[in-house]
Amino acid sequence: MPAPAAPRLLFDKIWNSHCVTGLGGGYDLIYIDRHMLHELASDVAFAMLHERGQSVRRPELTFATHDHVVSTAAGRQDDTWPESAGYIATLRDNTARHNIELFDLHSPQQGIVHVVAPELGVALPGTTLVCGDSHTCTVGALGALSWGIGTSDVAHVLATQTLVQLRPQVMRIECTGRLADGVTAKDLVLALIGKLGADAGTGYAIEYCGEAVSALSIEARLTLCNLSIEMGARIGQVAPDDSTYEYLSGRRYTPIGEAWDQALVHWQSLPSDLGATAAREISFEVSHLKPQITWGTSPAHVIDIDGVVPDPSDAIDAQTRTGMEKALAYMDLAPGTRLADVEIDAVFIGSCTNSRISDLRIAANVVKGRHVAAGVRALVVPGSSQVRKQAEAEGLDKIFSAAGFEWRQAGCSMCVALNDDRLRSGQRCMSTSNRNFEGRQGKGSRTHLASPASAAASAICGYITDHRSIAV
Amino acid sequence: MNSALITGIAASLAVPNIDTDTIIPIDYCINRNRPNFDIALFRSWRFHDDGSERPDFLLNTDPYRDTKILITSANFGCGSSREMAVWALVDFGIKCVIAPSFGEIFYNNCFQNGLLAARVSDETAVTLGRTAEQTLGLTLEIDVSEKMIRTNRSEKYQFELDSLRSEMLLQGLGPVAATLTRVDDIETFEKSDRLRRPWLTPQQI
Ligand code: SF4
Repeated sequence: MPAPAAPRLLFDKIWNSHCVTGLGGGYDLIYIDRHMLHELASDVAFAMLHERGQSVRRPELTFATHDHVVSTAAGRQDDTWPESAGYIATLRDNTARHNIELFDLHSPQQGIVHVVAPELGVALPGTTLVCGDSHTCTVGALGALSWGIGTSDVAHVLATQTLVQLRPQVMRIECTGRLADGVTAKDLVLALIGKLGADAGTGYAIEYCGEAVSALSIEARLTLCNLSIEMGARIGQVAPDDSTYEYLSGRRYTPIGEAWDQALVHWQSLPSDLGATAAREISFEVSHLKPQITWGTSPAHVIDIDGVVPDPSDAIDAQTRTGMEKALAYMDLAPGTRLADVEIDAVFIGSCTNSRISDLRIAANVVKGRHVAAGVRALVVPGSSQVRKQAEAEGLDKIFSAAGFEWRQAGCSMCVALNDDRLRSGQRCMSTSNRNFEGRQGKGSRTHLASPASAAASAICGYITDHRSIAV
Repeated sequence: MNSALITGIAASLAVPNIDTDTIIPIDYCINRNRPNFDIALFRSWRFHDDGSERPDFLLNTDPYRDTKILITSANFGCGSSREMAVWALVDFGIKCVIAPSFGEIFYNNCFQNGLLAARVSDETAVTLGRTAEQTLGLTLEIDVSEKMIRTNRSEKYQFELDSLRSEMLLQGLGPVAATLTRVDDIETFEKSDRLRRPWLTPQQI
């Protein structure tokens, strides 16, 4: 055994062991262990590949599903949402031609890429995983190194199973204390973005650690890592621990038998070594946090749910002020408004942020025995067909339906408004997704990001509501 | 691009955190044939719902219909990884975006498509933006090799660009072709990795 090297971070261990060769100037050629494809970002990438006469280097490391464009209506077919038929057919053709596993529309494994990758054990600790979608940072929660890429890079991975990457620095965020009852990983990460800013993570890979992170379930860690990109970081990670191994054990593509034992030895070597330091170290105390809600058009535009809309004239500089003024005009809100009194038109519970079974259980617990307020459209969209099945086995679908929620099929749905799950111009929505950008949930839509519990409570009341005020 | 110089009219859009949903709404990304995305650029800022132009939006006024250089604020191109955001800028005729920082996936996508994302200091972004706002049709000259932005009043501003990206722009280097010249390295890696991590290849339970 060689003498132990200098202490290294989780990130460094994974990056170094995936470096095929250095390219100079801080760039490395990085090997990609897992590649997820979805219908929206793969069509042009396959076209690029075919145009260059190339083939897929490691089809067995590549997995595909339909999520962005597909309808989420009950009994959906390829063309229930007409635009989706062409995408579905093309992905089917491309995956068949290149021998890539496809979780097709009616497969029990279908779902949002970032929900199915962990739930099927496609994403594993210590692996590199990429996908043509910015929220690929989600699965860093398992101790993977994962990030989102554009179409040209998707074609690059298909052809070479590698990517040319500039090595980021590491920002380690230690979350101390304990989250109060009713405050979730979603609130934690929104508060972090509010404090650090929407571009604080640019150029960094984030490692979340500390007692508050260790205490989170794997599903909650997935929510935490999901919003790393809203802080500007392409990569968010949590070191694997016993919760991770317990979560992964027995999943569809998780190693078994001797392979599991070998993998486990490797995984246990991954956490950052004592004494290793990151380029930026941040400490964040979470005990005092309240449920969070966004008021504007950036996830950094966030306040406590019982707070008031900030005043642009207090902004630190002219550009921030311009951004705030533009956001308030778009959201039709005035400075000083108490958000908890603002009426809403819609509630969306879903997306790769908050559509896993634990999220649905929390929301169902709030709405049980109650009814959605008159005039509010409320949707629950499970993140995967497996989540949907599990929820139905637990009777959650009945609770939601009885309360007046639409119980839908798995997909991205109103997070991205690519199909008919969209708001009309001017409508205001409480959403458990991750982006409140202008027009994100449909042209002219107004989005308030919050946790599943807050969204569920607001659906019942018809206005933005602190779920703790209507506690069961 | 294959040329060290970008010259053209510069427009200022001094709003921080302009996301790729704003640069191109998702509705316009639904097209599997890589059409011309020009009319989708800044769609809801540039056009009314009925498709008519918003007369007050800078890029709808002369001479800014011919904008080649966009000067903007921090975190430009944050959010979604959609490469269509870059295609829309390119299709409109933008050759260079100047900002203090960029969304990272967007930044990477720019260089895949010959669009220069020029990172400058906060002060430079503010000064250049103000100069553009005060000078109708301000023309800038951007020298990629020298990493220099020049105004026609011979003021000069440095921007950041690493050598790999600058080569991509100057030589029109295709990253996939470049990587495929290293296929031996990739095979060597795969061989040793199979021994190191025999559990890696997915086996369905
Ligand atoms: S749910 Fe939303 S954020 Fe997540 S992958 Fe789908 S569109 Fe992207």
